[in-house]
Amino acid sequence: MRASIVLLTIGAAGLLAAPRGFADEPWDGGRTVPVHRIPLNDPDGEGIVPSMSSAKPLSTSKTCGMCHDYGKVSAGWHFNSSSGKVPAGRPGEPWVLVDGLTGTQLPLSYRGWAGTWNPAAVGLTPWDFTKTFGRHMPGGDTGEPAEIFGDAHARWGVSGKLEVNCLACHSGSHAQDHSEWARQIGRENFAWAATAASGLGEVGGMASRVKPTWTMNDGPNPDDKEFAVPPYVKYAMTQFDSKNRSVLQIRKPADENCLNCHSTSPMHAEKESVDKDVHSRAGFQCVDCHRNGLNHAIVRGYESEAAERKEASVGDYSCRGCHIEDPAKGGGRLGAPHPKHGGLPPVHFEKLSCTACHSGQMPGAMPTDVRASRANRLGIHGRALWFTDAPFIQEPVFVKGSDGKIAPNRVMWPAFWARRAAGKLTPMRPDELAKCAKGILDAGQQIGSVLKAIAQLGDELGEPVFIAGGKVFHVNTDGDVEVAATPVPANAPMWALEKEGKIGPLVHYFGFLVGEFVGPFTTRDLIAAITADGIEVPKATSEIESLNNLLSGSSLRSKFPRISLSKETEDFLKRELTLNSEERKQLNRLILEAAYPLKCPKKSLVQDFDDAAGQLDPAVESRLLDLLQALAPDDPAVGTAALARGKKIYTRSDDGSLTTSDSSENRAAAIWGRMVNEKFQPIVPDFAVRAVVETAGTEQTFTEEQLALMLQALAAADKSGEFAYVGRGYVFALGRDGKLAASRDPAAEPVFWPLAHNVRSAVASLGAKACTECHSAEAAMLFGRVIAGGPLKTKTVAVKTMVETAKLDGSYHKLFGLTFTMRPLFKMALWGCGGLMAAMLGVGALGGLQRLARYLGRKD
Amino acid sequence: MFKILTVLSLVVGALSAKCGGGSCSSAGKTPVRFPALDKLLTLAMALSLAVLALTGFYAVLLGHELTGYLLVCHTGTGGAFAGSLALLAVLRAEAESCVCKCLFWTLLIGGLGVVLTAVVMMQPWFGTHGQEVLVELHRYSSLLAVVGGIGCCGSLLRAKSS
Repeated sequence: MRASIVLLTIGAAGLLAAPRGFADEPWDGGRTVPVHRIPLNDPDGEGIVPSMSSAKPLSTSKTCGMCHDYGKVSAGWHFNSSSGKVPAGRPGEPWVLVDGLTGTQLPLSYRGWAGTWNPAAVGLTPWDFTKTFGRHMPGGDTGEPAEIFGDAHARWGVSGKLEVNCLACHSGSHAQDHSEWARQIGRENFAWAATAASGLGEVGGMASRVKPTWTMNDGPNPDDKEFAVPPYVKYAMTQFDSKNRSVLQIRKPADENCLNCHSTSPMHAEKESVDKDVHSRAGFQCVDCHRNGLNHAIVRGYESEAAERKEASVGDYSCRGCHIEDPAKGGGRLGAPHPKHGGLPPVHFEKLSCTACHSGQMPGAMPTDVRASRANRLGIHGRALWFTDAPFIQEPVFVKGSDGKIAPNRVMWPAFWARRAAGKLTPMRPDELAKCAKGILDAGQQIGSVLKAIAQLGDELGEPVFIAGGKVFHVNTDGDVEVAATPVPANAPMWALEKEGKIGPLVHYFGFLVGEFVGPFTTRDLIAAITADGIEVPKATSEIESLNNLLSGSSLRSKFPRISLSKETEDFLKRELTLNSEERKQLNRLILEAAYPLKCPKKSLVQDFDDAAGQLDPAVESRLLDLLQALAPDDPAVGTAALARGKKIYTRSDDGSLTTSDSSENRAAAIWGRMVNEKFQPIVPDFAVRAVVETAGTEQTFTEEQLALMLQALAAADKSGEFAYVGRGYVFALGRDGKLAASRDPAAEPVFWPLAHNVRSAVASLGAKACTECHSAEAAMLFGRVIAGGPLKTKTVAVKTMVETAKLDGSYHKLFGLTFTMRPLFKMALWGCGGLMAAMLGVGALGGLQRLARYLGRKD
Repeated sequence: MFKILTVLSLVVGALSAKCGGGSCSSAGKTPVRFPALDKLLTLAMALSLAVLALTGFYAVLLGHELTGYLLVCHTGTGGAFAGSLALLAVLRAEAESCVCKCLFWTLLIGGLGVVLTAVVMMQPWFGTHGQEVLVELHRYSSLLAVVGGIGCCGSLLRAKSS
């Protein structure tokens, strides 16, 4: 016992005396991950006391860095892209600056990969880059700039630095939350993101709302506890022991952690239909092949990597390293099956990478649309839904790599607005374009904002919808519009209300016309609907009398349990006993309208909107004013909301009353619009309606008409500049005649990066079924068409065949493919010839033997 | 090594043509059946062998790969060579003098090796290593066929001219 105590004391003393960074010492041979029961340190290097309300967030450099050389780790592959000191290696997936409004999908990389733009060249500072892409960064890199004062609009002082988040990869805790990380990045809570994502504490407040002079040491804002709340952390006390140590569940990175940023799956595929990589199914983890030491120079796994890095051992973890038995290279590791490749001429291994046949989606007539975590912002869950359709990425596209081998790649066609100077295009950032884009490219938002305004009038009316081109548009959570699956007969654009699957024009809300409901609704229909709801309708001399009798009783709420009444109705009900006959009728109408808004025959219940009358019906006027107020634009400079009908225009004056003015135009249909400089304009311009109709249900978001308008707006805003839009493989610009012209330019060429997962087994590989999978005149691998995707709806679209991307001779491969149609016959003929030759040789040999026998016989 | 053997086989072929010319013209040889067909087949075989040797050895001797149009040409001509040689074997089994027969048999053995290795390579029976061995066998068989082919055709030409 005493000896044990002595040993423990010596051990403890040894641990305490251990120098910082002891984990950098040579490996002692133990194959377990030690338990990390450690004190946590804040960015000042002070130990965190979780019970203190002023506790600061966890700093990985000051916590993990106590034992592991943080400097060495932060120079690793995941954290060194912006350093400019590391060989770029084989191209990887670029960061893609995506903006739905401006139709931007701009590939960016600090590594200088072909087809990408350096973020600095397009005006993105490390701050911008971190704020935009930090959601899928593991920290470090641009998140820890050496210089924080060079960028005027950066807020590093408030946000803190985004240190390497060791826990993003190494945490085995079920509480490790990538979505929380992304949320904190969005709030500019950089220094707090690791703490929040780890689940060690709860982080509140938003650095993005705090004044730029605030620092972590300033603590809470006593003046504002609602909006500009500075970031703070409340540690989960259950995760700490009495000595303020926490057990961090550290392990080798699990696949789930890698997949937060490295998932790829076919667009619109169901989760259960996506197969895992064959290696994952065999029990491998990502890090079994993608290994690294403390320097975090992770093995990327491509064949030429070993030569590029001048580390032969790196070659062990490529496909060949494990599957081709080459003892000199340590090949054939981990029992990897040696491929037979029966009947496959060896020339294939000189021309193709292993991945050409074994990785990614099987090639089709056209490549498959896929989504990737970092590019399409996948895997972030919460109340807000991300727009994940863009950028448009496809796979597989076969491309000849720098090693001369053809490999499957992913492809993305860049799309961006650009300024042209001396014939050179320089991309413009979405924030530079926002002012011009508003009112031109935001067609869906314009319609969505009107629908949202109408929705403010109350749910009981039904859902506001916009109908145009035979399509029904609903507003979505982003304020944009979505097209409904069910089409309607094509007619003039119309604002409408949808309830219980039936659609009626919005003008009916005001009782403009009788009988304009969709469907032949009558008082009888109304009674039928009430009866269908189990409500007994008293019999009377007329149907309208029956309805009036129904509502004159005292148990209204029990009859219509789900009814939601307007304030006007409630006021009537309060003085129900004192109502005169006209008021009683009015109340009845209001109740029935509330209960059955789309079934109420307006003539019976609400007086017609009589635009010839000097005074509108008060109920109609009230509703009209409500809607005009709802439709009033936020910016008065844009105009005032108006309704044009007949020869009248109705607007809401500043004092809240209805103003009627005469119009020179006689409009048969009611048109919602805006008065701008005393001129009436439709509330959504015609081009915007056309754009929404044209792009609805497609991947595209804007039309050539909008593109031309946008180019005009940019030119008007900067008369000295020359502007263009790059997309769908072309550069679009306005010609001297003011018309849109398209031309080819290297800036519009696609960006490729090789893929390696998901790996398919031998039986599922390309060519396993037949040689003609690749060698035929229609082979997808060679003659599949890569059509330039992008946000612009146009017929001017670049198309490349895979023989072009693979730099192959298409005519030859067509001819070579054709020879395979004759190949079975050819093989039979060769077998026949060979058989005949063998037979003749056999006969000859027998003849020779016969002569030999005769000769020997004569000799005897 | 293969390059040296290629040059050597061409030389041996030429020499054997020189030596075999007299024996092919010597008395006692069995008359050829269907002489017109024999001539046609001999011509087809000689031409196809020449094309095969040119396309195949061009790649080997100059360090190029046998791919592209050259490969299509090589493979297509290979069919003609196999067909003509097989039929010639039937026609000429008993028609040659001793030296000439030896050369023809060399051609036939080499041709059989070439044909069999070519057709077996098209079957899914052998893996990468097997395929590589078959390619080597194909090459070395072709050397034998070239020696026999040059010798045999050269002998015939010399016999005709003498």
